[in-house]
Amino acid sequence: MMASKILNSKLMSWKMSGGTREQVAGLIERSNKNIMVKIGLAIVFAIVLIALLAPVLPMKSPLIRYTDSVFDGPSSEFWFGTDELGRDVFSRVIWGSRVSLLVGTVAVLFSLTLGLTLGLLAGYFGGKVDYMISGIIDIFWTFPTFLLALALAAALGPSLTNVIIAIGVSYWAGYARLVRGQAFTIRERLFVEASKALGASHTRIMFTHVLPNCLAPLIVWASIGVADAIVVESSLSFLGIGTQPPDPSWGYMLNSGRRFLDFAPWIATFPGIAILVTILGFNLFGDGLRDVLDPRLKGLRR
Amino acid sequence: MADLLSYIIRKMILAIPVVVAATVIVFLMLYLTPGDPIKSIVPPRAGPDVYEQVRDKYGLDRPIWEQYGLFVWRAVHGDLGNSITVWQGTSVSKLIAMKLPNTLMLMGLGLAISYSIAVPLGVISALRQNSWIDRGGMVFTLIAYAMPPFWLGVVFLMIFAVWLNLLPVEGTTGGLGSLILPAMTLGVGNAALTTRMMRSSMLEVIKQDYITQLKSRGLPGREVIFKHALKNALLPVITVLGLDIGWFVGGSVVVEEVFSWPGIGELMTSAIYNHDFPLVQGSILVLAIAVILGNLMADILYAWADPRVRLG
Repeated sequence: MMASKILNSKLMSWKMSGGTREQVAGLIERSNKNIMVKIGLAIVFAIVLIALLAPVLPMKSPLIRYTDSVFDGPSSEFWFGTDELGRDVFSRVIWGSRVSLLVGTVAVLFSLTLGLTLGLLAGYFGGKVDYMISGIIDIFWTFPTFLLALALAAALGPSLTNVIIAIGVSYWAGYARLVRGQAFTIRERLFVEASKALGASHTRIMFTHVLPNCLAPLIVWASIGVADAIVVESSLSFLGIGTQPPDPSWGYMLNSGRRFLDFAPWIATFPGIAILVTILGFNLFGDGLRDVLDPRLKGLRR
Repeated sequence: MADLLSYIIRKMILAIPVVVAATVIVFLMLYLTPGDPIKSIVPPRAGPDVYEQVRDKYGLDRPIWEQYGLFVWRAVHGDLGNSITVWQGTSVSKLIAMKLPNTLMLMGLGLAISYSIAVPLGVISALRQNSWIDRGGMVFTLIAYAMPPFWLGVVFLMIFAVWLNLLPVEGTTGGLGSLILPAMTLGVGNAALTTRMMRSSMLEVIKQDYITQLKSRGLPGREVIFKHALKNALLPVITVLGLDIGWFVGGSVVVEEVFSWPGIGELMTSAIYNHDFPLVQGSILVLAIAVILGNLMADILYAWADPRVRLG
């Protein structure tokens, strides 16, 4: 959860040059040569595909209880075994990917929107506006994010929507800081002045000049943000204040499975492996992209 | 030293609004709960006289800023309310004071484990770049980082308690022995990140001119590394210490739940299960303030170790 904070402070110090289109094109081109990005992207792509196809895949329902086969080990019929209620662990793990990805992406979009808006306003206008917004950003940045998400989830009550709100509200400050720093440098550039002279509105300048220049680092940050959000979602569900049954969440499955570790370890193991692979995918993708964007940070890997 | 002092004072002043934010958030939690807030802070099946008492104490019939003022006033005096379910009637601050040493012990041992893995592994990986130990370390950090603490804890449980039967599965039954697994979970999880930092910072340092110069003067490699390079390479690792503290507090909440370690995290989780709202509020407030103070201490430590920071 914390790597992103370090990453963000690193990205902060880093300025971009050249046109946006060249940057993104260069990013894609160089990413093609980066093995981490490739592996990460392949994993992410596979998981997204599985999540999307879950309803049509030929497998058992995640909710049906096969009362004759409670605690059955992995077999040709139940690939990942069955749980304490006789439900198919394989299909529960597959369906769980939908919950994780849904929470991960929606929460990141939520905090991205919030952070982008506040960061743009603060960095572009500067002065008093910046003073006020930065105060709020700093407080949220310094505040222990996981505790904030926990507090919100505990207060709002356990549900999928509330988990998304809790994560979104807790993790936006990073995006805001990133965009604010970028906007600060860009508003001084000549092309912004030219735009102003031509009579462009503030909104137009923000969206056509400032925002595109933040795009590349934001992609990196968001990719790692999805991994973070998935960790937080599964942690909250593990603690019982996240996604509620019957929605199959990996964190919740792990929690109920750990009681049977000594004789039915598959119930906890397979959701755990699913979490591991998913987070690994997003992290590899994000880390690799960051290396591509800024070779100076390459030391952080390998 | 004067600049260090002014740096410390500056940092302390900056921490105040965050502490205030913590109290505001914990205070507002009560109003985020669905339904009448008073229902969250009176014991179940309480009579109307109890409702009256609580309403009066919390000032629930007064404007919200007065309620907040009352909340802060009580918190400053160590009154975080009383537990309303399992520990009914016991004061929240007393419960937290009882559990706090356990959590601190867990985090302290975890931090020690983390750094005793990360520093040597990071240094060796950097010195033998692209060797098998470097690549192995890379795989370790990638995997350990992709495992949330609760899942890593379950894996350790499976290996050490279920398969090898070496350590107790849960709880305080084994005394200090039962601290090992949860502390290891936190330590190994955290080491993933610190190893990476250590490695990259060491790589940067050994490329610098003064190291080449020392080597060319014929100083033994060991002395160059340990006496000159490591000192500078450790500086950025100290900066992460502040972030580590946040990570450890979040991690200890879930890890305590996995191993039933009787700390604040476990207290809070069971309070959430049992709808013991004052206890949830109190635990979150104390943990949040602990993180803020921990960050402050890490900042001061960093400024003390690296004079360049104070002037910035």
